[in-house]
Amino acid sequence: MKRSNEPTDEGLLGQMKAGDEDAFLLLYRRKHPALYRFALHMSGNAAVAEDVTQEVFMALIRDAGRFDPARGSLGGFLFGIARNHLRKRWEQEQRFVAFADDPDEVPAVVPANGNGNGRHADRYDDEATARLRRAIATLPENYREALVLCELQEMSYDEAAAALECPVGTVRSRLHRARALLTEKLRDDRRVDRAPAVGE
Amino acid sequence: MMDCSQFREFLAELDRPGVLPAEVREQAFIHAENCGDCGQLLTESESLDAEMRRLIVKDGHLRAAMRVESNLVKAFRERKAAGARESMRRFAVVIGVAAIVLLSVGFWLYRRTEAKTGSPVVTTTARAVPMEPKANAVNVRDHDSSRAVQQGRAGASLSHGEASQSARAASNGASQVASEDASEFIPLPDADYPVTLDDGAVVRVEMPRADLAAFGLPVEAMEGDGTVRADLIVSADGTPQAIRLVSQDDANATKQR
Repeated sequence: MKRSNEPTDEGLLGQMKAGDEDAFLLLYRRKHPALYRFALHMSGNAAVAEDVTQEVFMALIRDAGRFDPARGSLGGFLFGIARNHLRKRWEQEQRFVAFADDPDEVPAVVPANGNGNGRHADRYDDEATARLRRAIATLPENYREALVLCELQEMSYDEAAAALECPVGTVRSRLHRARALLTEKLRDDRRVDRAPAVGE
Repeated sequence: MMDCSQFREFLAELDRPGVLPAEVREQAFIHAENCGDCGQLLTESESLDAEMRRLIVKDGHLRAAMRVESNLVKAFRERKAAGARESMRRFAVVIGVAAIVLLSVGFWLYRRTEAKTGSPVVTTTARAVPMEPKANAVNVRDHDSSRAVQQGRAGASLSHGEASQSARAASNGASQVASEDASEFIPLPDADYPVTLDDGAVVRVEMPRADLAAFGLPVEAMEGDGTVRADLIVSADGTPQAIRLVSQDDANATKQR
């Protein structure tokens, strides 16, 4: 919850435009985690996610005047920039799905007790999460965007629509479709997992 | 009562707070209890939500590396410095433009004054003119006549008596400004001793007749109202050295020229 004496995003942006480095840092620290995770879920690659995060704030430094509060929140504006950068990269590289042997692959989030000998529940948790990551990474880009923004970034439809520059109805239908595809993929994965067990 | 297609339409939003009305959600759950396929879909959807929540929690701590922040701070500082340079450049441009405008206005005024007088004009800063020329007195500097004054003199330093002679010479040289009918230059009481006429100038003034008469000039013979036109020789330091009368006709002729 935001405390009332905390400066608003727009206020920080104004100070940043006036050359206040502290305001810029505060804004970066406030906004970058969600952007980084969005880029990470979209690209499946930590290095790409970092590059995109950096590019978003570089764009803000270069031309903060592009942000128009009348057209949406600063967060939505930044997600829009991130999305455009991701799309450019997508067009350039045509490879966004993480590879198992890619060192920058979607994290390898080590559990708190994590040296590989954790409890069974933790291992299951990691497997389920890894399976979900893989499934998300294979979704078509526009469905993935809607899913990541609305579900993983917990944005409202309005915010997601502003970031994706499309109507709210489009966001809803894409999200609906994304969830259906994801459910299907996870169901298939579970079937594949179970199949050898039956044969044993 | 909700059917399967309606249920599937609302399925994605059952877990989103504030999107569906409470009664619609209630009907959806009732439908799922009574429909095996839709019940299965609801279970899978809830399972997906749970996995995504786990993913959110798991990824909640993820941040970009510190080097990203360092790079951005560096870029911000560079941009700020560049902005300051740009501001200075703009300020210099504004000052330059202002200077050009001022020079243009000055030049325009110069040209306008020149067009009015019909001869090259330099605003002289003649000081302590004893006879107080009228405010609209025309300040004329004729380089040729000035040169003539100087050439008419053997040296730069002259005695007061010689000034009369030099004034005469100046009169000859200055004939491009005034006519032959103009009177001779008469040295003024405040003139330097010896009179120095280096880089002096002939200045056209309009003065009260009574003031000129006080210098012994033959103003009575001249036509016109209470003022009389005269040429002053002013030295480089602005001191009037000698004076001569200019008839109104000659002045008009000079103006026309």
